[in-house]
Amino acid sequence: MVYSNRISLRRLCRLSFLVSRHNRHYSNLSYNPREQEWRSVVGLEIHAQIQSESKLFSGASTKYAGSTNTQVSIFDAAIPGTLPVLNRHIVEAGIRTAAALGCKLSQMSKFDRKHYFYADLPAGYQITQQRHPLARNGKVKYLVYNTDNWNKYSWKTASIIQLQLEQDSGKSLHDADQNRSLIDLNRAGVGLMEIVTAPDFTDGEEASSFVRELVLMLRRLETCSGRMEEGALRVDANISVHRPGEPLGVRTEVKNLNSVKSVGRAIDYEIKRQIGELESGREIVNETRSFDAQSGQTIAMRDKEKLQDYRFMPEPNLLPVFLYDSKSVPMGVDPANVIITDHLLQGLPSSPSKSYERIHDDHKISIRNCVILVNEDGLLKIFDEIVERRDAKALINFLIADFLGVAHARDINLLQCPVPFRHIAEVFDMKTNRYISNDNVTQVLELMFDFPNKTPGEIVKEKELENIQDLEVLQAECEKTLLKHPNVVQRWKVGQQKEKKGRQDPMLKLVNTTMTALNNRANPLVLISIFEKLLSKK
Amino acid sequence: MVAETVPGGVKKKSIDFTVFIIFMKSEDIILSPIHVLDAQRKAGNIKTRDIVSAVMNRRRATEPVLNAYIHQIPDEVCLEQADCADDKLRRGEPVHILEGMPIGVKDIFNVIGTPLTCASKILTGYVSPYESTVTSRLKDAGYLMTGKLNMDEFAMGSSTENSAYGAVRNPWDTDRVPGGSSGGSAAAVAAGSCLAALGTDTGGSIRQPAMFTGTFGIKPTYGFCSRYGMSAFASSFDQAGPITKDVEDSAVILQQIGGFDERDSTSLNIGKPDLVSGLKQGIEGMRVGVIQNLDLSVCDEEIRQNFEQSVDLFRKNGCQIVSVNIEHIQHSIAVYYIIACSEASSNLGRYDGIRYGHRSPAAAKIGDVFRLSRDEGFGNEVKLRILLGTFALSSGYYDAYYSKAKKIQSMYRRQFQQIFSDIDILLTPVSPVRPFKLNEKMDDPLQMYLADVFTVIVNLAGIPAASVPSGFSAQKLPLGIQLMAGHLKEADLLRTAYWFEKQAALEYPPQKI
Repeated sequence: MVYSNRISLRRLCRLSFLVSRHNRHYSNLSYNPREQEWRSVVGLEIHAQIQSESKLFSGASTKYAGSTNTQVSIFDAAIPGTLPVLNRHIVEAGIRTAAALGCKLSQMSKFDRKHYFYADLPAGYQITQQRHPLARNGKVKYLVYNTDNWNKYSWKTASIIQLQLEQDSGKSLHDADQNRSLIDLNRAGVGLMEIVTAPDFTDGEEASSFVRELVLMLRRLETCSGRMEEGALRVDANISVHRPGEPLGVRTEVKNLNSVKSVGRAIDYEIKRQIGELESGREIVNETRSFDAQSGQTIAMRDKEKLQDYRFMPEPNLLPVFLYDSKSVPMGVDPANVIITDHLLQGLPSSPSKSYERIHDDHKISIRNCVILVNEDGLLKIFDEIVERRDAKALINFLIADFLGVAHARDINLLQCPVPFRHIAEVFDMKTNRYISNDNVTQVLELMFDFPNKTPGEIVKEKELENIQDLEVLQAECEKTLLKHPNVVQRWKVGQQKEKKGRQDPMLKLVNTTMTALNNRANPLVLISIFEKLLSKK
Repeated sequence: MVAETVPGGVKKKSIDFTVFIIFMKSEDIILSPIHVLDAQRKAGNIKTRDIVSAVMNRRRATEPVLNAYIHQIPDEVCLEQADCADDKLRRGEPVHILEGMPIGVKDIFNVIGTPLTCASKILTGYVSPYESTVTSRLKDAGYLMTGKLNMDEFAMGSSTENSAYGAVRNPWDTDRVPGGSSGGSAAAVAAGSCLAALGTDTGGSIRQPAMFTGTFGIKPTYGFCSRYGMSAFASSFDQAGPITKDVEDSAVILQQIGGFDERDSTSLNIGKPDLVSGLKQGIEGMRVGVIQNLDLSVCDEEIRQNFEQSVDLFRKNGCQIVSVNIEHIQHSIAVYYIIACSEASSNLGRYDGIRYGHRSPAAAKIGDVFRLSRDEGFGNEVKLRILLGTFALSSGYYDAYYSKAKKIQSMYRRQFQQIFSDIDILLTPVSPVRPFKLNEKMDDPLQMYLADVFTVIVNLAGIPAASVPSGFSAQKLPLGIQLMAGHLKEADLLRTAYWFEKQAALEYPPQKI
């Protein structure tokens, strides 16, 4: 499992209560002061493959990475006389997505043909929805954040101009050695949603935050896998710059961005490039560019698209798509020929930003942790199920720091969590009640996954991992440590007159040594108070 | 131009057509409609093998002149299939009326395992990997396919001169064209080199050649027959239909091939059509319309007279003749050609030399594969229409041409709906001209387009219409009239045509080819 948006988790330091948090200071990203005179405007076109068994207009399979040209029906190969038959499931997925993006559904939408000649476009046209898209006018609230700087986050809203259904094209593979091109039509005709946003973004960070949120939304809806690395979601960005008060500048289009990171980098590079061009007295050419992730630069594509006339025409082989509420189907209309929307619009998952807001507001949890909680498949559900009557902040720390580490190490998909949620809660309670030490939490979690039929309580008993409560036993162990390490005791005495750090280090050493000797079966705080008592007598 | 070269390289004009009519019995067979022959074989008077054998002989004799076939199924294969039908008859098993009956198929339908050319060089080497819906329904009935019939390239034309496989000649006068685009189908049926044929009609391509060859042809309501497996010319107009020796055969075939098909989203969800049972009920009380504002002065005098006599026939038999007015009918040719060419320019984009058909051996780069393959593969008429359509769809012109034409089309549809709420049948001539000579009109495409004046309105309105023989010209060339009916009123149309056919046969003595 690869998630482009996974946050690099630094396991919370053990004995964190002893270590003062490193207080990070962030400088604002340094902008070239001259760039301040420019405004940049960015709009996105997102192509998301709709999750479905078969293609938009044919029965061919849509499985990723099948061997070449094995998932091609006669329609996909544009054999003469073949006709498209609309895949109802894909329309329904489009409807759910449009509704989740706050779009207004079109009661009637139609298909158009967009013409151009290309070797991997078999019919000479792509079937799309140019004039009458499935839905229009959506609004998406999203969280702008930067994983390098969690303090700097903000809420933004982007407008969706339209969501349309269309066919994906095939793939051309260029064999430079033998100077030939090969065509794979497996992807030709796979259903896509094209989501077109208004030019509502000002930079790469906003645009990439939006894409990240959109991917998450589509995954929650289960209408698109969101796997950008497989090409299941591709982003084109339209970018221009202008001076405040002046009309919008000439735009360029950077095509086929295939990771969230590339979206941000390509846009920021392109903004800088355009400003540089204009300040050097040159002009921006309306052109298509590609992004080279290695060099981080955008490159002008050989421009076959300039002055391209797509000669849009209504697709004569398909009927319009009519949407009705089950109560509003007109008399005489066969429900088999229309799409009834009410059941599709029930049970839509809430948007990621709603989840962020809810957790943030309900539990006063840091944005960083909200993001981790929401972005990790299934984790939010676990949290919601067990948070009641528990300390939310501590629970999130536990889930992110302890639980997720173990789950990731075992490659566990939390959407199909193999252990009951109450077991997870039980481990958390044992940790909170200091029934087990922090150091043994990982081990208990691992055992919990190993023995899903046993409760953590039973496991701890069996393996003797619970904290030793008997103070005399603990004190005896502490005394042993002091005898064994007179030099540390000496350092402690010297440190008493010094700064905080000088006092802490020897104490840390003593506690750690004792914990190890006790197989971590102690509450370090208790050990500290015992040591302090013992040392003060010396 | 194209007429000089035919497969086999036989010179055409030197052959006297009449010498082939030798055997009287065979001649009776090849001039008889299927339903008559079926009754004969079921009565034990002839065998299916006799029928097929007569047709095969006829095909062998006429093809060097007519050039109606692009691909022929060999005699022995056909005869074997005929024997199968005879075996079933002998065993007393039920035999469908079409079973073992030799029927030709316009070379625009995919028939699995056989070449499909659409009379174009660009499909050279293409063999159909699947079966069209209409031919598979004929297969269900056990029909015998005699071969793939010649046509205007991609059904574009009204004379069957635009074929990469050479022009087709009219069996009534081999210096003349059989009409088009289903000219091969019409010529073969008229000559008896098959007993019936499938054609397609986009702007008159069944009705006009049916008239030119004295056969019966019907274009059903748009959506009556599935278009699945039929190479597309203009998708909003294309419809399959039969060309037959008489009305009853067409009713049988149309009933067999029509009906809903889930693979064509525009096919209409009608139940199994019944077109045969009410065929002989007559036309009593029928209200028959003629279009008042249709300029008949464009017609040849003989055609105008024949049309007026035909209207009189209806009147004499107690039909009320109603004058109707169709607004903007003078624009129908322009509207039709804008939409048809636009759709054609789009539909023919798939012939790019990449996956099947002709690829230019001279092409080294991708752009050249498209450019050269299409340049070498398409004929002039097809190129002309692709250019017209490309222009009409180009940005800045869409609203002025395509979009406006579509609006006028829907206006025609509404008008016809209105008209057919009042009348049952509308009469017009089929073509303003009689069958013309080869090459006579090839240099004047506009004049050729204008000859579609009576037929294209039917495709624009999406209604059914048929061409019924109505006698002969002084030069013994067949004449015909067009009958139109309301949306999905095929049964009314066929019933009226059946009646008219019988009347016309009394009025105008039939001629032998």
